[in-house]
Amino acid sequence: MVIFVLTFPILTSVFLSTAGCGVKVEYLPQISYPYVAKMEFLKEVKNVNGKAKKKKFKDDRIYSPFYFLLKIKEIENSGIITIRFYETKTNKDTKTAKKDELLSKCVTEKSFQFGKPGKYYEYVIFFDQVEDLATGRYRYTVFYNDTLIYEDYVEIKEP
Amino acid sequence: MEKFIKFLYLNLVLVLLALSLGAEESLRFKGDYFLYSDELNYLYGGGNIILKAGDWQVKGNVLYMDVKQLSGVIYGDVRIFTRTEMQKKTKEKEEKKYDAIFFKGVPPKWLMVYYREKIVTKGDPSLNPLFMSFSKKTPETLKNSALYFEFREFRINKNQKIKAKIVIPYMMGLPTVPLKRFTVNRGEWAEKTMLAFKNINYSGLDGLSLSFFFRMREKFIKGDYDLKLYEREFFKMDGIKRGVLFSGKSSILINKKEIFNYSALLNSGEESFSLRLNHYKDFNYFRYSFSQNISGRQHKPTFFEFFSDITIKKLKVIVPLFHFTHDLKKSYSYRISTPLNLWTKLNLNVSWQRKILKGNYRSDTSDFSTSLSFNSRLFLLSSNYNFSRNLLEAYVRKNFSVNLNLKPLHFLENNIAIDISSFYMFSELPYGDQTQKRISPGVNVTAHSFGISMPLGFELVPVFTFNHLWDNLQENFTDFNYSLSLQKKIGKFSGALAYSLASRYRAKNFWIEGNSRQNMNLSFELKDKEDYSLLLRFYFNDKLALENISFSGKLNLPFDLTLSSFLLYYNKEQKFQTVEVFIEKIFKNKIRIQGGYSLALKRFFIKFLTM
Repeated sequence: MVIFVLTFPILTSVFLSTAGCGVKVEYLPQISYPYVAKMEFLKEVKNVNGKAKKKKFKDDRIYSPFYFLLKIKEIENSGIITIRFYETKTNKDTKTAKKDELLSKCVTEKSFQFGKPGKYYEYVIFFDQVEDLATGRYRYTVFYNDTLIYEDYVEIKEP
Repeated sequence: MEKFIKFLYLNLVLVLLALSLGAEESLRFKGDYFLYSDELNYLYGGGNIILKAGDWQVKGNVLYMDVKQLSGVIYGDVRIFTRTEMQKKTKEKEEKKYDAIFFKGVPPKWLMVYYREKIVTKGDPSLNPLFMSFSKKTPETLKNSALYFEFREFRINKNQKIKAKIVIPYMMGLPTVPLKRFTVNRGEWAEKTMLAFKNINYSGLDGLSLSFFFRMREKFIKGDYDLKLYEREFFKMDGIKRGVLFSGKSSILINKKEIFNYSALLNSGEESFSLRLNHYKDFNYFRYSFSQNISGRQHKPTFFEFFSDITIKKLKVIVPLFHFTHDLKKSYSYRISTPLNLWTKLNLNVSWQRKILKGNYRSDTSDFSTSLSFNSRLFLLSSNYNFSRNLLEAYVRKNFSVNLNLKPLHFLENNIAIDISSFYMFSELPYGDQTQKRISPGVNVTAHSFGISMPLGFELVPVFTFNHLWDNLQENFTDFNYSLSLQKKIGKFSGALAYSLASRYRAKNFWIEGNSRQNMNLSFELKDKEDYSLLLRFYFNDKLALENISFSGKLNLPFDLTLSSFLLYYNKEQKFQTVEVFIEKIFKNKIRIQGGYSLALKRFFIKFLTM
């Protein structure tokens, strides 16, 4: 039984490796497009000797004012990251909207210029404070050089 | 004849080929990189994403897709066009770009989105809920799965089957051999008659097993079955050598309506089987059901049991149910029961059952039962009564109980809560030629506080419990339990002194016998959610003398390592009972590796633990 357990993965690997013959290295999938690895909403973020010192909200409730901390991986060259917060309302929230109409407008925008031409960064961290958002649900977007790469929701609660 | 057989085979091959090449509806994706997590059933894609679905083509940069829901979103400078539009495209006409395109289903519905000063949506409004709440899982999260795949190209059909090209499977975060083609997700079984291979598996229970799935989707029958062939003797396992396990459930249909269904289990290794046939019908005024169980095992008699019931509906106050059970040995029972819906807060259930056994053990019993519960704003009352008469031996059993729980009483701005409950139990059972009556009422009171603020920031948490039970056959007894805790917290540091006393008093004829036990512990804790937690505790015994001291600590180190320690010092013998110090690392939320020193084992150790 032990022999079987030990040899089974080897035999499987041999079988699989024969199926994999002929795959050229340059055709193998490789992550190269920037992606959002993390977006955090925090009470306070400080840059202490190049490291982000974070202070979390109690009970994971987010109040205004707050900090956001964005981590983007696999990024090259210089560029601009823009984060926008949109207030969102549906026809349930307002009588003037038509059925299924989504009312939303950008309420805050933060931009960051980063990087040097020709340089590769494993990850880049961006953070800033957002002061003026009232209680409610907001959609936020992350643009990399005017191209949307991520968006999601955040709920701002009563302090 | 030979030619005819060859001709038949050729036809069969052609039919199979036509079926496999048939234009199956699917979504086809190409891109620089795709990542699929088997555990989360979720897909991420990044770089030059192209989605083709029928006549539609979408180009973008980032893909997030929930495979189970067959829904997703493509971000970036997203363009959507049909093949005809692409052919007509002129240089003057500029392509329309969106920031995001949400899609759902096969063939897909689309919802296009712009994010500028305002969010503007265009397309199928039925996708608005998806747009409002689509959840995104980052590549980091997907890579935490025990098994995930990276690939360049894939096709997904409406059964969620994902066939990928140029695939690298990753197991526990480690890359294995690249494959040209691989089905990374088998998806749901198709709704048609089919036989499919499921898996090869090895386990300590079944040995090596080969599993198949058989689905029937015919005019008169609809069912799903599992077929497992297992081999145990080859792996030197005791007991059953090998066998076939067949299990499944089917429905027999007439005009697409189920007439009856059956479930079956056959195990050739154990030489056993079980079959259950069911039939039920629901009408406006009543519903009925029949069920027949047949089961057997080699060298044991076959067991038959028949159930039936009929429920009368549409009556406001009562819903009578008649239940009948019978087996071939002429043992049978019938039961009539009904809930009485007199008042929404009052539940009353009345039932009567006659059970007759005519096998080796003969019996004939008539049971009458009632249960009642009443839920009011102030209390919850529940009661049960059971009267059972043995008609052959002419004896009677009686049971009665009533529980009354008062709703918690709150005082001092909800800081103190008192729970009071009482019960009464009565039973009358045959005891030789006579009957024995037992009466045992009791009462329970619990008072507890959520914390009383004291000077200098201290907090006092008292809890008091009182139980008393009267028993006409055994001793009455009374329990008192007190516990008092004094706590203080300053930032990350907290200290607590807890004292508890438990006393029990038993009435023995004229005497009252009592005993009590007390203990105390003092604890100090220093805790930071992110970085460390240290807990030092002193235990005092019944005489309030120091008995032992414990210390446990956890410290987060770089590279996701954790240093943990546990010490227990026994004061009477003045020696350490346990000392454990180890470093721990968790891999992919699946495997925990610990390495350190244990005094109990008297050696250094390395442990591999699965989570």
